[in-house]
Amino acid sequence: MHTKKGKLFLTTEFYLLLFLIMVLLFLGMFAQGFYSLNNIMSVLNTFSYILIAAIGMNMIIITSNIDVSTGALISVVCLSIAAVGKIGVPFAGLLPLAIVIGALLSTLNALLITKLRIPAIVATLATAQIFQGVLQLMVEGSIYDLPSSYTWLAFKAKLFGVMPASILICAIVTAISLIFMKYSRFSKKIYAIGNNAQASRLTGISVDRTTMITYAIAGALFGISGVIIGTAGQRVTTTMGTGLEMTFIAAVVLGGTSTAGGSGKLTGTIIGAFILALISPAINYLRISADWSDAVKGAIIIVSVLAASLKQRKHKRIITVQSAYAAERQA
Amino acid sequence: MNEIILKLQNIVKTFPGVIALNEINFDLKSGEIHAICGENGAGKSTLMKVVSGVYQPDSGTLEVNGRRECFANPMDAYKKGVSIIFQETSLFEQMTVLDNLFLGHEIVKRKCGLPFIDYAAMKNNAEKIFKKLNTVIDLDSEIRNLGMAQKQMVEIAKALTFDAKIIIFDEPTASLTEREVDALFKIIRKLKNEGRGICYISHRLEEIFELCDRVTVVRDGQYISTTKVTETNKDKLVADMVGRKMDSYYPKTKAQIGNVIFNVEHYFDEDFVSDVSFNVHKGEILGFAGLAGAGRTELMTSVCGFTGRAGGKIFINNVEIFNKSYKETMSNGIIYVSEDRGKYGLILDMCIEHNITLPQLNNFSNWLGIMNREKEKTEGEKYIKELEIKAPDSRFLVTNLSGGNQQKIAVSKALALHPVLLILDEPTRGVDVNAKAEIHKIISELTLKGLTIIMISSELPELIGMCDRIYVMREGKIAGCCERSEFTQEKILSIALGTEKKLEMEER
Repeated sequence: MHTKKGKLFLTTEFYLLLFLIMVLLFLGMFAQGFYSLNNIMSVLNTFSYILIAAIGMNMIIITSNIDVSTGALISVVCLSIAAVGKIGVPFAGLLPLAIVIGALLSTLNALLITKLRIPAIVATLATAQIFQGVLQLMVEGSIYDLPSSYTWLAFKAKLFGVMPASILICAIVTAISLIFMKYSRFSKKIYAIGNNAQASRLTGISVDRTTMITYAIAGALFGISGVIIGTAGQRVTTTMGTGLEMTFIAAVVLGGTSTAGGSGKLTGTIIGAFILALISPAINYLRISADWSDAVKGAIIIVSVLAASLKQRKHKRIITVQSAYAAERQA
Repeated sequence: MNEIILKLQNIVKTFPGVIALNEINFDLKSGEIHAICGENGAGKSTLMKVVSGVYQPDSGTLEVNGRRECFANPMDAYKKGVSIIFQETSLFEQMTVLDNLFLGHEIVKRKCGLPFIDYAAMKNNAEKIFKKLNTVIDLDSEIRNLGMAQKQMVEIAKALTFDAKIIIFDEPTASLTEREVDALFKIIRKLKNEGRGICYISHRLEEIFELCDRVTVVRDGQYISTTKVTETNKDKLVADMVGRKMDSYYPKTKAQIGNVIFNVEHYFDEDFVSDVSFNVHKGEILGFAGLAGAGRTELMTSVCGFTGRAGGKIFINNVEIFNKSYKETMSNGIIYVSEDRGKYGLILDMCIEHNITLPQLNNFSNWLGIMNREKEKTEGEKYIKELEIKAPDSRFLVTNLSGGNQQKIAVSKALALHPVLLILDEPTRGVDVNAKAEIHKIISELTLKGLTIIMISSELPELIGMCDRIYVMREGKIAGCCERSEFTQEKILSIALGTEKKLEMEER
């Protein structure tokens, strides 16, 4: 049996944190100018929108579902808020709108999954096409010349004059999520249905309802993330979110959440999101061609998942032998 | 005490095409352990699932403490004091013990108007319960890290978090070692003495006589009888269960025993099995006894090349073989039939003949790799006939067959490879009384045809009835070997446990 302290050192989060610190040290030594104020703030802004969406994605993956329509969903959010932002609606109006649109579209995914029994990957692959397709029908390329009221979050709202306000949003969302995932009864249901849907039903948990609420919450988070992405400039294109879902999923998987569902900690996702937010700027500052960035993301995921599974295997074997002895001794 | 707390009257439950329960009556008193027995598929589990809210009856009444109830789901039943402990535990593997205990009825404390889970109160509560059960379990460890017996303790503890007055045990001892069973029985008796009513489902008749007060027999969904345990005996119960007298459980026919054909010397596997030596003679049935976790399966899977070897030698007919992979083992004429049919033995969603021919597709296809369906069918039909598998034809899906018939297919699959040595791991686990006898007969007949068999089993009477010799394993080593003339349950068990002296201490 490990002591409490011993357990901490064995967790995936601990190894990830170690890895993160090593990367940060490495960048300090070899990436000239990486720790300039400008770059730090830019990395933190990227981290904010990745993490907010990854928190939602983490919940979805814990229920042993997935969402590959997130990128397209964020594009829809971006263009919707741009359309109303163009006529001067301020940030205070854009944020709720984004949350509602995100939640609604994500609930649509959940309906396909729960009511029509379409596997999550198929359903969301289809809705991704639909979201993107409808956007292209409605908007020609982009919405541009947006007023300064629209880009308020990115250019005017600075904490202490330097820090982007997106970080504050992210901090609030993360804090609430951490409490929610530990102390709410609903979070137990999320883990339970990901562990064993049949047993959950027998425990009186409505699997469909839990799935729908989870998708709705995640959708709301995708909406918030979409606001940060969409209000970053005066021009919003139909492909603002394209491919982002892979980054979010990567952050979640890197954070130690099993794609089979049922397990995974938010703290892991936070570190995972941070590592992913670092990759593109790091490659830039190391003067490597930006084309490498996706490949590096992929490689990091494979290595980390491999490391986690090796650790698991070793751990499990010790336990089988131990428990065999322990069971005998106990009886 | 001794008032009726659960009463079922004329319960009917049908599934598409089957009447699972037909006008069943049952009652349970407080402070009583009431056994329900019957063959697999007799309806005992279905009955208990009706009681615990997993299924809803089509007609009939269910009364708890004199009040009519209809449970929508088990949580509903739990909250009204009826708990079921399932055969396969229904715990959430990747969640902690504490989360499992209180899932669906977490203790919450309101802060700022919001409900927060109160971990401290839950822990406090759980510790009290485990103390009562005399069990030490780390509340923060995940369920997947626990052994079978510990998982069951968690289930029992879960029932007690609801202060269940009626607790249903569905085959609780199926995967426990003898010692764990003793510990479990102590707890069940304790629960009984607290005035709770216990329903106890088991295949093992010995347990019913040891533990229970009354016994109800069901057969083919029909109510047969309820008697006091003191007023019946094993033969009567079995007769009630199967509807006819059984002549012999273990039809051992002694085969001609030849020379040593297979021996293993000073064998070590990568982590657990150490310095094991044994040999098998031609035509022999060699048993491997031991407590769960003694390393029997580990030894055989390692010898067959599934897991790594750290040292030792293997000989067949005095020629050394290496068994580096299972494929190599098969080509040496050794076939292993796994204890877990569903997981390792068979592809449940494939038909009978495809399961049988799967290990040797080459022999059933032409040079282009196109399967010869006619030949496959012939092979399938052959084994259906030889092993009396109850299936309409060889294209029938394995998943729709009973455990006993599935086991026969697993054996057929092995026999189709014409092995020299057959290793059967728990060949009658989860199989009903009748099918068990049939499988025993098949095993016996195989040795008459010159096949040699190694049999791992956790049921001592089965080993004693079937085997010519029994090796007993303990903690990864061979602890002893008995000849047929010296077989007794007590002797084998005491070797498996340690020493006779230790056994006495246990009793005290």
